[in-house]
Amino acid sequence: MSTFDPKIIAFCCDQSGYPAADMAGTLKQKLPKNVEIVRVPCAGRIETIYLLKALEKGADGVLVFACFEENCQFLRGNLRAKGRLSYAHRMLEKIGLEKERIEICHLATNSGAKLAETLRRKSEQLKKMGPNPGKI
Amino acid sequence: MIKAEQKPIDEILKYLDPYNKILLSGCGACVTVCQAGGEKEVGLLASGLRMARQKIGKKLEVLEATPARQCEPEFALEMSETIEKVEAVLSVACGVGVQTLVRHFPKMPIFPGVNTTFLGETITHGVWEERCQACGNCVLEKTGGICPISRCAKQLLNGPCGGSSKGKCEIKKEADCAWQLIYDRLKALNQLYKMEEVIPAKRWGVESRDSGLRRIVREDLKV
Amino acid sequence: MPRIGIFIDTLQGSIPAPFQKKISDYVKKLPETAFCLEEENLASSDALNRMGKALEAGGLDGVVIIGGSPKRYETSFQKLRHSLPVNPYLFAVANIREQALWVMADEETAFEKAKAIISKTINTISNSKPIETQSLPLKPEVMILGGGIAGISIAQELASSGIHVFLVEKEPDLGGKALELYRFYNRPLEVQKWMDEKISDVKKNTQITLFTRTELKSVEGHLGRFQAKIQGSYETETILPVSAIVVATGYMTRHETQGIYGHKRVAVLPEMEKLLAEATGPSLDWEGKKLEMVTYLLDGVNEDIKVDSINAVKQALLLQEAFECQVAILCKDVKVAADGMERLYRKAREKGVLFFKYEEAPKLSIVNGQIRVDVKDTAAIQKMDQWPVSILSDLVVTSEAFVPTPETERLSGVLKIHLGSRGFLMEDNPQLLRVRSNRRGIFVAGGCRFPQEVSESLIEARAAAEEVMALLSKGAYSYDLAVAEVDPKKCAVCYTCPRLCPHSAITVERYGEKNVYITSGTGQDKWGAAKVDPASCYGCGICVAECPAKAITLRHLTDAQIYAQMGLME
Repeated sequence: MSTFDPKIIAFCCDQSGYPAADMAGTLKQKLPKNVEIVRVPCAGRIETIYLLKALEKGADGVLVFACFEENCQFLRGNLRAKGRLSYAHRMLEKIGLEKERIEICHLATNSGAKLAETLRRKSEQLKKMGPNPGKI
Repeated sequence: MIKAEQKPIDEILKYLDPYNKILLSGCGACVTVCQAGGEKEVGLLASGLRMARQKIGKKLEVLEATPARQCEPEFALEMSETIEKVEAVLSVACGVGVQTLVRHFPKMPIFPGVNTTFLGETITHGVWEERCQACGNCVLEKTGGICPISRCAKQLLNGPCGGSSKGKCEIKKEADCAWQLIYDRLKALNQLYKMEEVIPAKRWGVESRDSGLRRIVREDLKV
Repeated sequence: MPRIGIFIDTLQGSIPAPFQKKISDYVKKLPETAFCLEEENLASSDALNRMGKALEAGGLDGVVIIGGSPKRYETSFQKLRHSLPVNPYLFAVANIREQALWVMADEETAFEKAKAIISKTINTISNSKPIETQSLPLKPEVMILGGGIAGISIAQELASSGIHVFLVEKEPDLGGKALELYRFYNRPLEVQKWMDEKISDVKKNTQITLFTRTELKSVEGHLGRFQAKIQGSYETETILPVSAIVVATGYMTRHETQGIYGHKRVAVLPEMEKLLAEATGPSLDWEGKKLEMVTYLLDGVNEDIKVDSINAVKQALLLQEAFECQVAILCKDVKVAADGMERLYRKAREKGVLFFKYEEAPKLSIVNGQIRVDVKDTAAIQKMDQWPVSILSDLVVTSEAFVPTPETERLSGVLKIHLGSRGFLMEDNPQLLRVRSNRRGIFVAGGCRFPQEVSESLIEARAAAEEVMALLSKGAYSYDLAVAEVDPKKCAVCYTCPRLCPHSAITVERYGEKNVYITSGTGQDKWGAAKVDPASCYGCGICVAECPAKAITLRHLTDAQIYAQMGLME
């Protein structure tokens, strides 16, 4: 268990998550090693299937970094993303996987520290939960 | 259109318990529109099934296919090659689609992945409501276009029951009383006289669903 | 095996030399690498020129930049005068500084991470396709809805820059709400004379085609090709082909007339405005009595709208200075956030206008034919020092409620633009893009977006005119085809994407043959499949993710590219 380094896919939207990730770098915040950053123009681009496939194909957790509600530059992308996460949560619950493996975090372009903290917290949480039993 | 809802995945997993390789077949028509069994849903369900079975150590191989429809013989037979490779088929088409596959693949287990719920209308995106129960003898002309079979809980044909209150149904409190809607509508069309015409009782056992398996034959169309 | 040209950007030393050497050695051994060049600051124009030359030889499937954030390179590429020989969508950036070097626990881990990022990025390139730029011709023809002060001003500005304007007004006359005004609060002009000049200019202007008693019935098409059907009196219908549309339909007011608000000594601001406009003598008469004490009761409704506050202070100053009146203004908050308002407020106070701030609503009662206003003055800090004040007034002037005009909702449906809170038309982004609607090519300005004072309307009108001129000035709209695209063979015509597109860029249209799109509004049938208008698409990808038949792709960010970024096998 001590060598288990959870693999986290972090979807970062161009208007909030991705600049925040850049800022986390500028602030020299330490991120967990096994994080893959995926850049999307809007959280609305994130299909539900990506969330499930991420877990199916080897990730232990998924974080979606999106703008605060009412702040989406494309008006409703982050809200649609929330709906898709709740679909994924319902499926995870029914198949016996922890729904905490998929989470959405709302932030803004200047939230470099928040992004880094969220990733570190998720990594710790996933370490306790253990590797994703559904990964093929 | 036909509206359906996906069955809970734990129920589906029970059906698939004895099998290790299945085809998950969707449908590009009604179930795509009501977001229950189109290509997108097929992908999501397949992923969920694989992970659920991985977790219990009993790998399940899921092939995915979404023909344009599942209720024509040609569409069903198109999938023959793929179906030969699997042990069972999970179909997220409506009940018609499932049974079309059954008729053409009599030796293959075919399971339903959705509950076919009703014939319905889209009220707004993501909200669908029942409008028709395929009674076989449409009375909509006499009721201003509002169906008393599907929208009245008691399927009354000649006016509301005593429980209609403030335009709402006594059986389902949130539902509008169908006969209130019919009255309002006929009034708006200046056709209230139609309400005075008695609609005879439906002959369920003769011209409707209680008459046994219904069939339409068009001799002029038959090849 | 794809051939990739690689550039390593040391970002002026941000990436230390030994680390950079390890990366460089690793990259040079990769089978896909066609060449690997190092630069100290790739975003500089010299370096970009060198890059251009290195790429001229051709034969590459893509380019990978190893350095810092892609946002850095995107902005500098946009400044390039001449384009690079490789399609910009075949470039990818491996952000090893912000995502590896600066955030990993130690250098060893950072190097491993950097290698992983580089190989992911090369993988993304293999899934990328070049994307072309298209140009949409834009004729200098614009339709403006609404002939109020904003509409008229925009029409004049656009006309003077050579754009032909169709000005559509539903009433018989131009002018709108500004016709109720007597004076501006911040300029010594009489509004009606000023308006009359503008209106007569609009009527004479050959660049402006005026339609009065006319309403908008329907709009088809998108930016550059709107087909607006308007209906005038006697049911005459006209179709206006325009490149852009500006909505300046204004707002409406309502006021309470029940109970004491129906009393003859209770009025609203426009009535006072009219009284001041028609005044002759040194004093004013109201319902047979000379006005000596006038009380303004503001913020009863619409607490956050400034219009009535501004006009009240303006009227109060005039009454106090020129008409021997004592004025009291009761409000929840004195709103001075407008150009010159602080000065006006100060002047009003110096001239003797009394201001009372209240928390509880003041009470009105009738005493001997006058209105008695009871209010608790909250100016004192200690609650027990808050004096109850009674003002016996000859006239109480109240503020009106500001509401959207009755056709705003219908217009939002016809134009497919959103309604905001309170039912007014919604802007795209209140801080930056106030005059843009959610739809490219359609602008909103003035009171229809948010009830505002005439000076503010004029500013928004100016901004909207500038936006339109900027859009039309080049005669064409250039855009990359980095947009969503519907595969008509897979489309189930479920109407999910037209409902969900935040920019109303998707309609259901008939496809002639594959890849030949029939433009709507040409009288042909509409049925078949959904179509995304490429010039109106913002590339957000919401429709792509929602489509239940997986019929839509986002050309510059496909499923394959996302799975490549996830670093997972697909």
